Amino acid sequence: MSNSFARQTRVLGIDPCTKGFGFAVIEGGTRLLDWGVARVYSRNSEEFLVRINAMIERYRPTLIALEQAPERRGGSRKGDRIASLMRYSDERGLPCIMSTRRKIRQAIALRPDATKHEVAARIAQLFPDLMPLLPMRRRPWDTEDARMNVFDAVGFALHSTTRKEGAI
Amino acid sequence: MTILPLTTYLKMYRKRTGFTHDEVAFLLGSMSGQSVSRHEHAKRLPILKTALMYEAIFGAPVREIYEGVFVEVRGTVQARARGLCASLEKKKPTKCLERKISLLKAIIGEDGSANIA
Repeated sequence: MSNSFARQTRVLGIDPCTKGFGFAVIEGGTRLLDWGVARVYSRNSEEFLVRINAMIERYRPTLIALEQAPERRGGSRKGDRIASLMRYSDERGLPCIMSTRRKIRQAIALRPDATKHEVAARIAQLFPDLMPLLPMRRRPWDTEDARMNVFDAVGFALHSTTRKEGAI
Repeated sequence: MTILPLTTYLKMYRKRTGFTHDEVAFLLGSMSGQSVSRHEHAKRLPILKTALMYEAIFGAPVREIYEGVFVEVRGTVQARARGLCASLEKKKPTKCLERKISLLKAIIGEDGSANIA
């Protein structure tokens, strides 16, 4: 999975969610430095950006990887946070790579119709440190486990490191 | 462009084990979990004994846990080694002197061997 571009990058993958955001920091395409779900208690993006800024200061990423969220009617907290983070990274001069679910599946060599749990399980195989976080397979009436945001963030970061140099 | 390593990768090693700050502090003896957190955030460098304890706990060499610090001090030592090597080469050659110059070149990395992480 590593290429020369990946070896020179430290990626901060962010997946905003209702309660906060999932995050993952990958260095050199294969080294998982940090991961988790951070709680953000305020509804606006200010606290969210403060937490992101602290991570950027600590890990000095060369890229930020986010989800390319589909357009929705009206505002959504997740969409607002993604937009605010894109503006923030632009102000700081940090490249922002947008990923889609399809691109993540391609990056980890899964079929296009793989479920989120299958994607998470594959990511856990690639990064065994995440295996304890892998939740049970979701039943139709279950709400999504917050830990899935970690796997999403790792997926965004992985996609950004497997792309060719210069391509966004 | 190669990225500079972080000052410390202590948090990565701790999260891999699943230990909490307090559990690591217990293994270190007489330190609070806050001290471990300060070490993770590179607000404070541990003393040598504590650094070696981290190596014993996580099974990784201190130079890998504190890779950023190692790269920094290695650069400093290499710069000084170049200066010392240059001054020694001006002296009358002896076996002892040649050995020193050879070792200094190994530190600098000019002989293509060793001492490069």
